[in-house]
Amino acid sequence: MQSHEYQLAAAEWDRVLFLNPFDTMARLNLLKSFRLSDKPVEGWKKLNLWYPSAPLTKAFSLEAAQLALTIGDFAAFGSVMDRSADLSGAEKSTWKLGAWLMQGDWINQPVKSRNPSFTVASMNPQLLDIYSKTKDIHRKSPAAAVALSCLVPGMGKIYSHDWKDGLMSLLFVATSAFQSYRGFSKYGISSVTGWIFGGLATGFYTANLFGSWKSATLYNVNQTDRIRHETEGVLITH
Amino acid sequence: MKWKTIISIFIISAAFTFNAPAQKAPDINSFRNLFKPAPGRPEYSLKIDPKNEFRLILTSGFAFYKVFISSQDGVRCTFYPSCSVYALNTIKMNGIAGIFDAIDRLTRCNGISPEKYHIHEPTQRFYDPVTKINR
Repeated sequence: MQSHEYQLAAAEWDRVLFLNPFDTMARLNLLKSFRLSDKPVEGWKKLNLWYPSAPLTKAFSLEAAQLALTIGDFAAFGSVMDRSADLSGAEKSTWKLGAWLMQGDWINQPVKSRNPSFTVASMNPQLLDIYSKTKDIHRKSPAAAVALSCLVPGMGKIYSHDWKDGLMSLLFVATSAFQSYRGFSKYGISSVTGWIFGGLATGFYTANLFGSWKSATLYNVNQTDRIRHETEGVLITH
Repeated sequence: MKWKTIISIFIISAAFTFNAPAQKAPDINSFRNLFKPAPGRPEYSLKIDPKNEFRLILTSGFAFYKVFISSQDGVRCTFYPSCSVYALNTIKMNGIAGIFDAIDRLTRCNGISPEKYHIHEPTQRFYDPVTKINR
């Protein structure tokens, strides 16, 4: 494990457990090896095989919590917290705060009432710092982005902090629409240029609406991902 | 006989000459599969799909573009997968909405927003995969 060969380590710890099935240190190391070798589901299955419903010791609780968070199974994480007998209230609060940050549902709540359902009494200053960052993140509404782009092409992307893409959208729509206008004003309704550029302008305009919606959605996803990664860096050990 | 006709006949007859290939089939076969494709190469097929008119037009246009136009140029798209592959895959995955996704991708294909994308290591281009549009 010191050389970070976790897959090989998992095989070795499995062999140790074959010789001594009740070696708790080997069990813990096997779970950790599974988690670090990108096989957390295997680790979770082993844990449930060994301890289907019994209360977990502190070491196993911490490993199980990390496994559940790595998998992204927050219901399983809740059951681990319920079963962890040795974790103090502050420790549980720290982990629950971490899970709340990683789950990412906070972005759908209004900023002022963006609080978890439990009391935040974390002892970890880094986690509290990340928690305070969520207060500064404003969710971007995809509907608002589309509405803005309806009025001015590209405005929805600018609203979602993609100002360069917004300007490009405006340029594409404006250029093709202007060319269409030129064609129609010069040759009337029979202008081929007018119809071609009119079609292009319509396509770019509709795509700009779609792109604005996508841009706002991606902004929200990226913000929750950033917070999730920062929380993982604090909570998940290597 | 004009010289244009002579050259045309020469080219056409040369095209149907089977006795003087630059390489024979065994030579070519010995070099087949020498290089494996790089991992993560674009997953697309040039097969023309006549299931319906829309698919027929799309797959034919894509195959024509890939064989006759795109192949004559180097890598020009700033993204991985390239805009044409992205368009094909997003329309396959998302239907009509994929058309607008593809046009939106064309407007973003300029390389002025490098901070938005990760780098796709094998191709060293911006990674912008096709995603399922939630309705």
